[in-house]
Amino acid sequence: MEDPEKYKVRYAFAEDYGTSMYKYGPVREYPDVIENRGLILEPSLIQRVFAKEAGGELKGKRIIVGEEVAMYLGSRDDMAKNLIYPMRDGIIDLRDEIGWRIVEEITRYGLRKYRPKGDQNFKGFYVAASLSATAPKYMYEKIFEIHKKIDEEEGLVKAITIIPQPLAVAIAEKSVTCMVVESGHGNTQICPISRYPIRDAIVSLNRGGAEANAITAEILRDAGYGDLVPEERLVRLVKEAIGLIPLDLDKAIRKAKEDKERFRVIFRVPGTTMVIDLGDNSWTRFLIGEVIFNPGHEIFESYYKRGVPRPRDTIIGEERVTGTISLADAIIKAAEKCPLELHEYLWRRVILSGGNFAWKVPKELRDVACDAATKVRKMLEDKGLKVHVGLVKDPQYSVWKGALTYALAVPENYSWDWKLMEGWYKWR
Amino acid sequence: MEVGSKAVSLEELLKRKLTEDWGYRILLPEEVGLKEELGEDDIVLKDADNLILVSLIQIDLSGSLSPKVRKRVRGEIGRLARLSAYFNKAYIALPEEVLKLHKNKIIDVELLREAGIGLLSINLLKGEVRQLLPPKPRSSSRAERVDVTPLLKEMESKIRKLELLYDRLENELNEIKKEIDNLKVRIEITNTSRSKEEEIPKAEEESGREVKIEDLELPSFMRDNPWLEVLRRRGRE
Repeated sequence: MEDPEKYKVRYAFAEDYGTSMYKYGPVREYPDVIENRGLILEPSLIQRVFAKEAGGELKGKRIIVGEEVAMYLGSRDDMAKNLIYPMRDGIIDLRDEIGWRIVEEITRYGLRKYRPKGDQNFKGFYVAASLSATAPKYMYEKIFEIHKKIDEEEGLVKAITIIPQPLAVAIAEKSVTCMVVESGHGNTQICPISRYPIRDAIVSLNRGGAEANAITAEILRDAGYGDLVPEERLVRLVKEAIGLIPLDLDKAIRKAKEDKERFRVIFRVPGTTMVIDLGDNSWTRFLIGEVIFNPGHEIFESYYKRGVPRPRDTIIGEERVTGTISLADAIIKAAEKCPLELHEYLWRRVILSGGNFAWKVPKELRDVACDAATKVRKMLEDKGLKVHVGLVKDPQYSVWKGALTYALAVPENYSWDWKLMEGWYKWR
Repeated sequence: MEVGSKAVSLEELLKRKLTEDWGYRILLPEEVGLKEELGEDDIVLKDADNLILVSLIQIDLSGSLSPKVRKRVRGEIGRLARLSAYFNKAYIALPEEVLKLHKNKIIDVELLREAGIGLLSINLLKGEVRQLLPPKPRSSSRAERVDVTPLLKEMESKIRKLELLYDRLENELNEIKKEIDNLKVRIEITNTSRSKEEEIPKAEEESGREVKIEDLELPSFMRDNPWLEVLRRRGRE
């Protein structure tokens, strides 16, 4: 029989449950990526009639996940109703039955794709799943339950472990002591790490790419493209194409209003004839980036009043963290919860990770726009801190990479420990 | 400096001579579809099927010959050379006294010959217009004024399609690169795993020899990663 440790190396598998995207795959350089969403298909009248004629009855809803979703999409109204992203800010409600079914189908989809063909030795993957650092215990239990069920039905999972996303980032970045800021679609987690994630010091913010999407949607409405707003994917495309992080928002807006042509942006939606031109409102490009870092800026008040959701406050223990706190203040808050002597080491390496930090900086606008690392460094410097801030090489994949490394390294015979929240969870 | 009163009579004399004595017919710039390209001192004429362009250059004689004037004449030759595609013949016309005084300085005859542009002198006192240098007639039919807007639109659309194709190919290439990297890692892991199975004597294997992850060919983000050692101790600390 093959050594279990060697078996684990061969069949390690990592999953990153991001709010927007699910990244998955066995040992390799890059993961596969699908959207963390499912399309609910009600059985059609014809299907129901045929089922009845055949003596049965179709009651259940079908859930489509992965690339196939695009083939079933109907009108925009149908999409809004039946296309479900189960996670909100990295979390699914315990009683969200449909949400958990979608997660199950997405997980099954990923594991099935890599089932080795004709390998008699294959007894299931060693799966390292990555969840938000603030995921409640029931999410761990649900994820275990789903993998166990899939294994019982298809023999695809031998054991599973769960790793918090910021820890995965630190592992992927080969940094044992650092401050990780992971910002995805739904939330932003600030987590000091010193060999272990310092759980008591984690600051989680209920904001991420979704807030930038909401501002982008409002900007599109203002520019007369309100009909495009219900398409989340399109809004995201526009955000990625035109959004800019300002080094200093007020200065950037002033410059953009003085020299409109320089900042004007025309976006052609790929594969369509649609053209989006912000015209004189091109200065609003800077709001898309700024909202990630400082949604408390007074300029956003008018947007909140018009219906753009204000980031919700987070409750950490007995403390309430304002949803609109600046990212610099939130990072400082996390550091302050750590022992003083650790601060120096944490400031030596602040790691930014997650798709929400992957912003382009056009060469010709470098005097006013910057990347996420420069922005955070400047914000912390303005608070009198000297820090080294770096952006991970592949912001979208670093969690997955860390989870895979975790799967390979954690000893196979280390059983899951609910106190330490680590080890392998097994059922056979 | 230009002299307005003389200019009128120069132009009048030139037009009269070209129409009455030379038998040309004056056309409006609109008639040849070149309204925007032609100036006030340009005279467009027709001789049978031939189109002729005469550019009258009016220069004040009272001042010294400035480099600006020479530049202007050179510029005019250049302009006529560009426009010559639309005409069978092109001339530059200058007052005779200017030519007598400054001929070698303001007119580069070789340049005129090379460009195929003729030279006319106007003698206001004698009421004469003489051809000093004949133009090179263009035998081919004059260039059509083609509306290139549809062509440009078509080109723009083609460029756009090429851009989209380029983006798609670039994305596909990146995906292929990633897939190749992934496959390399899989192959290396499978090979290393197999060769290690062959290398390790069974007895040693049974004794529970620890697998060193660092010995395997791993994805780049795992190589030299201090976490491997930290995590390997988990559960034993």
